[in-house]
Amino acid sequence: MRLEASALSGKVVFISGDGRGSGKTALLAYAMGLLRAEGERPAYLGVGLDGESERAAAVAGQFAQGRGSLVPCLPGELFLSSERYLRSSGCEPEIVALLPGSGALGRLAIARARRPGLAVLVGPDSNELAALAIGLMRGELGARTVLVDGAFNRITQVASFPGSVFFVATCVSPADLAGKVKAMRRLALLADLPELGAGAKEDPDRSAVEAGLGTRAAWIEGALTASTLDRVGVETRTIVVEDFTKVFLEEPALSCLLRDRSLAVERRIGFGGFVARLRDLTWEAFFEAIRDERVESLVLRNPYEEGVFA
Amino acid sequence: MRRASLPERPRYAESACPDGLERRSSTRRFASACSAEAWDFSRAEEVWTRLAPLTPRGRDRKEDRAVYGEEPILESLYDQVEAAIEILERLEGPALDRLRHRLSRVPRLPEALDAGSSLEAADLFLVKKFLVNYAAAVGLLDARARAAFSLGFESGELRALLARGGSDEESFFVSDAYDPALAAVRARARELDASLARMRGDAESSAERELGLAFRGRSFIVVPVGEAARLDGPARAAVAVEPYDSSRCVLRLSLAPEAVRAEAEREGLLDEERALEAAVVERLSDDVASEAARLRSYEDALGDFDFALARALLARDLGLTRPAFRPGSLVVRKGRLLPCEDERKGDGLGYRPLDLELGERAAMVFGPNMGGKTVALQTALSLQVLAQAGLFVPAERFESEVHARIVYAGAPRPGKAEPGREGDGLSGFGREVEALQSAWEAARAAGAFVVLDELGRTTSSREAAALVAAAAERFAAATGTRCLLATHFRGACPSEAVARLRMAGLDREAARAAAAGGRLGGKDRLRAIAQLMRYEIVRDDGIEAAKGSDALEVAALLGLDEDIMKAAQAHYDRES
Repeated sequence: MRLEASALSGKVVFISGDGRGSGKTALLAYAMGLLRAEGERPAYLGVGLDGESERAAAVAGQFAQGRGSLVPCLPGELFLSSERYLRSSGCEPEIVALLPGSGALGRLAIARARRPGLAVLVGPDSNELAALAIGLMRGELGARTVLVDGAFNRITQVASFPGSVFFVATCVSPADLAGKVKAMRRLALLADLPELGAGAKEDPDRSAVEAGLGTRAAWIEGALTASTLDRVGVETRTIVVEDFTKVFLEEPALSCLLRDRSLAVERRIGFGGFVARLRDLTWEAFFEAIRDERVESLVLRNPYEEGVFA
Repeated sequence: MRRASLPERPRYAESACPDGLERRSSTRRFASACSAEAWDFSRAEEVWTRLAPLTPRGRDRKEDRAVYGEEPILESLYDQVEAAIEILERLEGPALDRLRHRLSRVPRLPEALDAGSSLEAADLFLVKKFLVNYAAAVGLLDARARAAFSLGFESGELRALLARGGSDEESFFVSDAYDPALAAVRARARELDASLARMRGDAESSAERELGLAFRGRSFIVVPVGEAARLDGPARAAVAVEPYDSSRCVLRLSLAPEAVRAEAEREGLLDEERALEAAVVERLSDDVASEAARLRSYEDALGDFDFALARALLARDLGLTRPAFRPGSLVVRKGRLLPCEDERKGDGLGYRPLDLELGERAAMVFGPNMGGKTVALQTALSLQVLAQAGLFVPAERFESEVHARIVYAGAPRPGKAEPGREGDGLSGFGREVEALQSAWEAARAAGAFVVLDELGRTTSSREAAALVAAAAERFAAATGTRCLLATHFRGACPSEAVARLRMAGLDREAARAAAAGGRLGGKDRLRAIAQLMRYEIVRDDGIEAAKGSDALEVAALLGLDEDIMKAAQAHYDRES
């Protein structure tokens, strides 16, 4: 399956990676290209910072203390950066909004590029500020699509926007094939958990019945770990959490739980798929290792390897 | 309009809060003449929360929760509310919406404006956004309104200067219009950008045509090693090959020498552009700094106006009236405790406003449990607190004095723990005495509005009665003090300087009929008691109290066992 602009357009798109070298930043650039080809001017920001984006920024030379992704902007596109990086940005940025507070890199500003050039995406520390920035971009600043370059653990707040979707970039090699496939199966399971909707926290029993899961449901506040699971009474048949990012059970424990009971989420986060980059591995070998139709259907091939011949 | 200068407020570090989200301590109080306990007991917060100022300075004022002890300041604040009410009457529908929209877009001016340091581009953005929205808001007001709040605008030149940098009225960038040299550098950069884009496009087309490789906007592509090896001929030089893994490699379009030269030139132009931009920002910063005092005066005046408008809207929505200050008097006509009124209405119960007229400096309020003593005290206290906070009040008429302090001593409201009192080693009585002493010190120092609820509740009735009488007498004699004291203890008789009031209490005949009619359950029982209770304050002549016990009637209504009730009545009759 190939990543298409229609999977992104009009949404808040959260692009995450499963570790260093996953290809997250390249995926972000590719997604930008897809949208631009459709005539869109996407907005973009980063939330949370990881090694990959730090390295990308450091590569840019002048951003020696780089802490965000370096992205090529086109005129009219919105991005979130810090005062310090705006000064050195090459896209003639026009400040259109400032976020509250100030950090080590100065205040965070939403800027509009006035000409082609590079900009460093600097992410806010808090989920609330990320949500504020996205809200401004989508609201009064009129961006149709917002691309969010973010660490996986920051997905909850961003994904609370209606029509949001997330993609996970992953780089797979023979050495980590088994582990990556296991992680993909786990995420596919979590992304498909039944959604109970608003009210699940107040009345999990009723929400579970309405979702066809039967009674005796329990709401778990915060993280669902092996130890919180131990504290749930055996009579509880359905466990409800806020969203799948609250589930901290490894694959065997998760499968075991799903065999005996139901696990549901108050809010489902739209999952666009895994964007896979293979190293020393053929696609045939990769799909052979997956051997799961549902997971296979969620795999998008490396967009830099697809359609490369005229 | 009378104008009294309000105390100088501190400016805050969060200078970059144009869009409504601020992080400030919600517990911070400013210049408050009101104790935390009195604020809490009065339920003033539940009214205060309804204030909705729109500007950062207006929100500061809300956050301050300032309660003033000076009459000129309060009269000035009331004048502002009246002026704002008049403005509301003149501004209808869409005009008011436009004004509120403009106010909501006013950012906080940057901190650097006062620090004397150079402003950054982000600061200039804030100043521009402030000026645009301030001027637009002021432009929506008539001359009378502008004069009432000193809302002038004499910064047209600065606004026009900043307007040159931005593609819309609020946004800001260092535009070419500020410096011809900057314009020239950027023009050359644009030429190079166009040229580089063209060369890139040509290179992509050539790679597609001659090598069969489809880059299509991608900075690189990944192909099988065999495909890379197949590339040959003069077009081969158009791509750079990098290793990827054992079976694939990365191809990138090679830059032509002409493109390399163009990129190098563009890089150099970027450095030149940054230096020119910095010089422009510096010049604009000086221009803004020369108007710093004026800008701050706009911000202060707009904060006053915004907060007055918020108070006026609250007054209009809730039917509030201007308090009056008269030496020696406390007059409450149809005073309402708004949260209580809402709760009663929500429960389908009637609500009786408070009427109270008091010439005496202190008053003891008697009455049965559930008779409304506490609500009466809360109502009077709430009116006093809101009035001294500069709000109009929920009463047909409220006349009082301005007191240097407003204090409360008594049990905290249900569900409200006394802050910081855990594990202090004091018994309940110890805390009562401590709170009483604190209230007394406030009264003795400069006069206070003192509310004491159920004083002596933690000791025996005889001792409590003595304490209550003594406290009432002393507070009555304290200059500038008004004390309302709710108690069950009628034992000791204080001097005539202390008014004796009581809640009218139960309609006993109706209560007996209701009790005889059978037991009521839960909410119905409370509803029945509420309907039988006359929540009004009357002068206490002692005669009504001698006629029987409201408390026993209430206990019967609450469903206390009949045998216990009979025995209690017998004991009561013997004691009487």
